[in-house]
Amino acid sequence: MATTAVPVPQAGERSRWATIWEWITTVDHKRIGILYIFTAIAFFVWGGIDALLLRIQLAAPENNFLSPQVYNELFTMHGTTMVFMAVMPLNVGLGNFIVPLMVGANDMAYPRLNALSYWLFLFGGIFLSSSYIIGHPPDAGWFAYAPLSANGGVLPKTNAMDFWVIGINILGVSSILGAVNFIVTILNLRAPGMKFNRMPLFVWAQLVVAFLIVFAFPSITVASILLYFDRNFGTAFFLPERGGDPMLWQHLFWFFGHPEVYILILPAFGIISEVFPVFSRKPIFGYAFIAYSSVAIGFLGFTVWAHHMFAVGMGPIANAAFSATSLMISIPTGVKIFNWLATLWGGSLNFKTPLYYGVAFIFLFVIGGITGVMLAIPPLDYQTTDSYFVVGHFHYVLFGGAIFGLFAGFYYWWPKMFGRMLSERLGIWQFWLMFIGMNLTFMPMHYLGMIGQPRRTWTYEAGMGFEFWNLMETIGALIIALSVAIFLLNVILSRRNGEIPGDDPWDGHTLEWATSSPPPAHNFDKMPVIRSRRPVWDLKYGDAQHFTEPRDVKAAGSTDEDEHSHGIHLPPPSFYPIILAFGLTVAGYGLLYIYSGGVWGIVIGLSIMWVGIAGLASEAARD
Amino acid sequence: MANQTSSQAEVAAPHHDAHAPSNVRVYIQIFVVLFVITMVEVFASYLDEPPINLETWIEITVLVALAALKGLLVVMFYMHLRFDSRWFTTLFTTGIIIATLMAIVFLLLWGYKASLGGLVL
Amino acid sequence: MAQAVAHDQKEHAAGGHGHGHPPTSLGLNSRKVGLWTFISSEAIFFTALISTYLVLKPRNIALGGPEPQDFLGITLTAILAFILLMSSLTMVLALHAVETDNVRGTRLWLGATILLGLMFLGGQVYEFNKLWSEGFHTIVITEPDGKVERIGVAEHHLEEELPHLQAEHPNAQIQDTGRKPVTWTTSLFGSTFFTMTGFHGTHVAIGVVWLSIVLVMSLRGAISSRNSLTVEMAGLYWHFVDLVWVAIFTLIYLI
Ligand SMILES: [Cu+2]
Repeated sequence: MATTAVPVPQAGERSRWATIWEWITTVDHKRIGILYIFTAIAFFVWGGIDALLLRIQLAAPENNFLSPQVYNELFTMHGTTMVFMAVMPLNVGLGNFIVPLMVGANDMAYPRLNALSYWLFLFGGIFLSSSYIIGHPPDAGWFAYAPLSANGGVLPKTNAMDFWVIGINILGVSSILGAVNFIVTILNLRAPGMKFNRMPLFVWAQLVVAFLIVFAFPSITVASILLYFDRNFGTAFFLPERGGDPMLWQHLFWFFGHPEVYILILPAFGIISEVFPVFSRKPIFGYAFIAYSSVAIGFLGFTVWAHHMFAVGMGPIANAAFSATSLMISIPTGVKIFNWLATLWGGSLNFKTPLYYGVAFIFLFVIGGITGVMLAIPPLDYQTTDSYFVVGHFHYVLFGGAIFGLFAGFYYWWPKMFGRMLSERLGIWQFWLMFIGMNLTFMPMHYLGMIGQPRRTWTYEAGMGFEFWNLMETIGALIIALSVAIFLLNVILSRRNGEIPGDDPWDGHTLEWATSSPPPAHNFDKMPVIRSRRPVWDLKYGDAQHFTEPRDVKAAGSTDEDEHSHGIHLPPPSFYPIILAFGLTVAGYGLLYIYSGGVWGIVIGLSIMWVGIAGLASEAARD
Repeated sequence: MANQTSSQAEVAAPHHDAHAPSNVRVYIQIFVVLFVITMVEVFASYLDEPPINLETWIEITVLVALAALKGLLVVMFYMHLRFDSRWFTTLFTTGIIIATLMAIVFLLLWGYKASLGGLVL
Repeated sequence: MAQAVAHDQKEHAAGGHGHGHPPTSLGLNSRKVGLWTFISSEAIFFTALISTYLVLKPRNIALGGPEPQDFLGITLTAILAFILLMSSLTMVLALHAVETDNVRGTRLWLGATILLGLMFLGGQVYEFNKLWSEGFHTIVITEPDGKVERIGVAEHHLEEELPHLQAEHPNAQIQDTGRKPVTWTTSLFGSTFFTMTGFHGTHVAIGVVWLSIVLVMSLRGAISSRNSLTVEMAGLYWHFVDLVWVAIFTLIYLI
């Protein structure tokens, strides 16, 4: 095993296998962030292909391109992939790379746990995707409403939803461990002077998201475990014919599901809050309002879940209560919107790709937010629930919001992460295609939903007025695909032809711009003194320009005094995270085939896990 | 480190600097209290039955209050939140608040429906 | 979050364990912050399980499932609750011993905690076994007006209950659907009860394994006041598991 902390690439003479080994055993937050981002981009493309197939099926009435069953599988996997395997890990990946830099730490609080989170994500994603090959892809929708998900109902009796349940739990473990890591990093590893009210807003957003994950995921863990019992062990938690209560599934699911929306969108809020001040060359307007409104959104997010269930008959009192709390969330969200607008107002705008995406984000997210307020009103929800209106609404939030925010973040931080700029020309092309494609795809959905096109239905009859706009939506989806292709091309071209950015191409003000691009393994050679929210602007434009020695905060909790005498202590690479993650995944396959020898899979999986746990524990005891 | 002036550090001091007897004595005292409360709980669980026949909701209130008291003692003294950084208290309470919210709203939701025999706690 | 700012930059090691830590921004040990966060998450996990039990309880009864109080003996669980409370005491004594570098005490109290944990698990196995061996009958009462009521009667109450039911519903048709064992799958009570207490038991078992590892470390002389955090972390988890039982004891057994 390699014994020293490995500095960022510079491979050269090293063999390919050594490089692969380095990446497999890496505990460097920057490399793990990059792994997250590229894996998630791959799943994003996969989930996008699902969507394209769905759109091709819907391009014409009574189309036979997909069978109803395949259609069910594709929309289930599209939702599951995009939520759990694309947007969430893209957020985690960016956060992984950027957050420790922004707070002036030299890694995450638990580097090995960080690696474990990544491998669990990768294997969880592979587990779910393997259903295409060795089984049947999940087919009961991404929110897996019981009893359809429990006993199949009209669906074929397969282990499709077991793939979903187990995959979701592997990904859930990854998310919870990752979130704990983010919380501890942000609370405990801030550089001297980085007070809470000086933390970059992206860090605030990631902190709130981490808390949301920690508090929301247990609910879906419980729900999905009970579902697994119903499916495999003969219990009847969610089976009404045996006394169970399908409403219980819905409540447990949405207690997780609604905060999940903020888990997806809040990091984009954070990215926008970083991009706007830099590209309008002016401090963020209302820093405290933006920071605390994130906290408010996070907390209120736990009080609104049943607005997804107005139509199932909770009764007028419950509907009214959840409607009221849901409407309340528009207040802190509106606060943010106005602060962003005020940041742009009067700034000297530097219209580069990140700002294009940022401005479009506001435009699109406000549309999604307004339709969200509409849907929070039960009478309107009765009319539009399970129609394309809802699909249009949440794609404006999650595509127009989360994805546009993420692209703003990619173009903004790419030079920091890879030491190469993404092409501005391709970026603008990509932006306009994505903007046009996005609106062409999702705007007509509102209209189609209003005139009655149901979601999750594999086809529609001719002559109902659905044809034209469905065709337009499919064209829009193809335009989005083209846009994503251009982004990938941009990424590939940038590796060789990308402009070399220097440390600080955008005139940024947060700490990540104070180190090299890409940063060294230990992140900072020298740390600017942090006396404000904009330490790097202080450095460039302030009066006192000085640095301090970076502080070795990572080793907190260690007991070996000798290690601290020379410089920064980075933990050695570790092979155990991938072992542990692999063991859990093997156990997951065991659960999948529980009645055909899967018990042995569980035993073997747990044994492998034990090797990983013991290895990690002994490494933790050593550092 | 020693001459910390913050209230938090002062609170922390007795825990870490105190000597064996006082600590152990507190631990044992807490245990005795926990034991007594448990006995009272068992007794209280018969409040709504003959010969006492109090309303069920009174019994439930008493029992939940006693359990909460026990939990509080365990968290404050055995898990040291009484002496430790307020941050740990904040982290834990946030989770407990959301958990309580979940439980209460769930009970209200199902009680409100009351279609299958009402909420029989 | 308001006090966040006030507490910021406190450079004292409030954790107070080990030596030579570079200060963290909260002055707290990172592992401990992480563990508390995780415990917070676990609290919601168990709340979801307990809530599931509570909201399905009325359905269980309305459908003629077993009445919990017919089967859950208070004496046994009071003993189990006592065992866990006792183990919490031995746990803090172990922590105190390690903080005062009392090696023998550390081993003794860790061992006692593990033993009590195993006793709890044994009690739970006994309880599960006992429940499985017991039975209940769902009595379906059909009134002349077609109203149907289902009542779950414990096997051991059947002989005294049936005449009562007949007296209460003189004109109704009373049908005994036969004996069902009290298992995981025969009623909502069984499903929710065994799931919830099973997950709690799993946590106890994990705690026992964790404590055993700490004990082995102590036997090898690897535990002292310098790294008492190792004991403290296991202890925090252990007390939390006890805490869950405090809730289950009251909400499930006593109410
Ligand atoms: Cu929602």
